[in-house]
Amino acid sequence: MLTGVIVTHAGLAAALNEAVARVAGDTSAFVNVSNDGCSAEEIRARIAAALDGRHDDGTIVFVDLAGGSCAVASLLALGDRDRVRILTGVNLAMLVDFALRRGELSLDAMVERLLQRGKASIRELKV
Amino acid sequence: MQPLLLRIDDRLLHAKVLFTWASVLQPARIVLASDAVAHDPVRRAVYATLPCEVAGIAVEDLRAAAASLRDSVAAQTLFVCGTPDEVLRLHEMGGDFTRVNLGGLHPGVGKRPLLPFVSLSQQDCADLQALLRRGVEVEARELPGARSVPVQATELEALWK
Repeated sequence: MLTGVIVTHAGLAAALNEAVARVAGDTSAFVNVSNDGCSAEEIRARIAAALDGRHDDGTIVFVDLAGGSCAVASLLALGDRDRVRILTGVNLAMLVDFALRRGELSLDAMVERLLQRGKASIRELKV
Repeated sequence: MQPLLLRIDDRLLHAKVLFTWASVLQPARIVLASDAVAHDPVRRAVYATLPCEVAGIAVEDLRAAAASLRDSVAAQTLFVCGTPDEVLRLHEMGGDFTRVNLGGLHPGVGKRPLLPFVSLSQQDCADLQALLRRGVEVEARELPGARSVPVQATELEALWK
């Protein structure tokens, strides 16, 4: 089964995780990491610790901003781990989809699916 | 040539720099000036390939960055260093600048808070005092919309008395 780590600024990761629990009912899919009050090295260490606790078929790190400290620290935390992928621009649609299907898909298939689902969830609504 | 911005930030390149400051200042180029990053292939690749919609990112060691600070393109360049020591060395190497922005130095062991977003070690204070003696103004400002706070030698002396 795949697992996820949500890495964001401030309290966004915890809020997203809570929202996933409400929508999908899955409270174990994600570990949260916040960059609050951290130096660059402290963020990297937090993410590495979160990844060390994942012993699964693969882990996806969900990051908020592609050019932010969370993205940099995620890349630096990868080390030689080969079953970890990083996706930026995290949104609730991606996380709910991940929670619902993480037992069904391979890591590669999930990454491809979430890239499409995440982008597809951004749209203008009109009546 | 005074650069568009020369910032000290221990997170180096991150959202406040690549999104907020870059969006407001619209630099032609962003330079991460660091021997540690420039000489580490992994860290260099990570920072040099960060997406930034405003400008290209270059990682330069301090010697190269000091040369960039003497070039006319510096006026359109946003420079970032991780420590006051690196900025002092840039000045000693002939980097041409008269102002430095103290943007983000996080708390840690052996540091004392000067402002909510600036904590300094005794060595940091000594390096900033050396910059002041060399005629470099030091301002503390985390974000472009915030008030610029001039940092004085007396405050730096008092922090570690």
